[in-house]
Amino acid sequence: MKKIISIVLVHLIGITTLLGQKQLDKYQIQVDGLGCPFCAYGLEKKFKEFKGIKDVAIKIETGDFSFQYPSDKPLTMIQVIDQVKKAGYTPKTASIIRINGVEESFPDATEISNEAALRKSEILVSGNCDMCKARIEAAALSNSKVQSAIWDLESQRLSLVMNTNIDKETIGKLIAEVGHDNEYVKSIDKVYDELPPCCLYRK
Amino acid sequence: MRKVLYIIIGVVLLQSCKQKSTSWTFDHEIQLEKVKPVGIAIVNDTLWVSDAEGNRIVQIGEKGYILNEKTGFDRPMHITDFKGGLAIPEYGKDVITLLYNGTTETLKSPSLDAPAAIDFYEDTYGIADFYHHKVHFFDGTKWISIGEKGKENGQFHYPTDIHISDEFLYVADAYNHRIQIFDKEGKFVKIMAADLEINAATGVWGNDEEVFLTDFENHRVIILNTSGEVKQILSEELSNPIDLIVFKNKLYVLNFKLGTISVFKRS
Repeated sequence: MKKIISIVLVHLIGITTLLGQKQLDKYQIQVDGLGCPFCAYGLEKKFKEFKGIKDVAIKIETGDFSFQYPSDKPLTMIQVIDQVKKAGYTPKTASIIRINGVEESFPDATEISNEAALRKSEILVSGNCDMCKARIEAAALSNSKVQSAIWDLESQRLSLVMNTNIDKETIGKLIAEVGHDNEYVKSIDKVYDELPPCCLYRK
Repeated sequence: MRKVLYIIIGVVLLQSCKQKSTSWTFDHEIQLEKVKPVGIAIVNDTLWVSDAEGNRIVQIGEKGYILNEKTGFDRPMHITDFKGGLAIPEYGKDVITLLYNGTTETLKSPSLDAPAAIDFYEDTYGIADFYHHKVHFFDGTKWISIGEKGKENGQFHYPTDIHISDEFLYVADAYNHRIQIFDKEGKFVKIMAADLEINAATGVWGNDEEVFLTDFENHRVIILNTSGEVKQILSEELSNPIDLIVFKNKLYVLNFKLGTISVFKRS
């Protein structure tokens, strides 16, 4: 009898301990073009605004950023993406693994345009560094009618492959909305001023 | 007439002797072992480097091997020597940690938001406060707050480094792409290097004759005289230079992304 009571007690203590430990969702994000360390570790600081965040890890070389967060107050994918953008970065991919095993990921697949209706084009876009490159390209690619967008730092040219039924000014507007002046649209000062320090191209 | 000529020649020769050589040439590279170097300091004739990604500071031997390591920091940035030990700005923790005489303590300072650098001169010291766009200077008796966010004289756009001489504070005003100089009362004196198309002025160091500045995105080191005139621009064997120091007539430049130190000698 005493043996049985001891075994039950040990199990009860074990279960109580496990329940007492915080259960954490796992978050992994990849961002493009982390520049100087002062800017890159700014991303980390931005996420530390979420109280309770744990095991924050960032690798400037690969752009990998990960952390854990209590599952009883989960962050949505939109919150995560927005926080990355608030820090001035462009999320390439993101995944959340919830404590119950459910996995969410970003981005979703987008439709690929009909090859027969494509044309090549170029826009002059102002930028300063690899982070700008990532942001400019992501802004252009956010329109599903753009199949390819490659920005060159030296020439300040964005080379596009896009549907014939979209105009360059539309792309220019998307790029200006994320802070980059271009030959069609100038970014508003408020948006420009929010860019990370290494991206401030206006002299 | 001949006498006058000899006097003129004599004066010219004397002047040229007074001017020391300012030519730096690349000597060798030190490859570091898995270190992402951000700050460099000399302590007791040895090289110490901050590894912000590894959250540690490491003592480096001549061939780049790690001789000693101290861990547990939160993004250590531009370090400096302090009383035979080190002063470490912890960017992630918003404090300056002092390691000396076998002890660890936190420097009492105004509230910081991502301290990027600290420097000492006798009983004075200054901190580059990155997200506050300020420099905090302790003049021996009180703190003086210098600057605010902006692009005008006396304003900063993300200051990342500071060097203090007997007369002045030299501040790497990183994203205004220039050096700003202040006196020990915190008054703006002048700007240097603003017309050199710098892209991210991340590290500054100086002595009686020269001021050195890292141009991070353009992969250059700019060497100026104390009047702000360019003496030399180094670009050989540099890749995202982030901090530098001169020690025993050698210039040590940290290359951030490559994880190397480029060493230049004065020729």
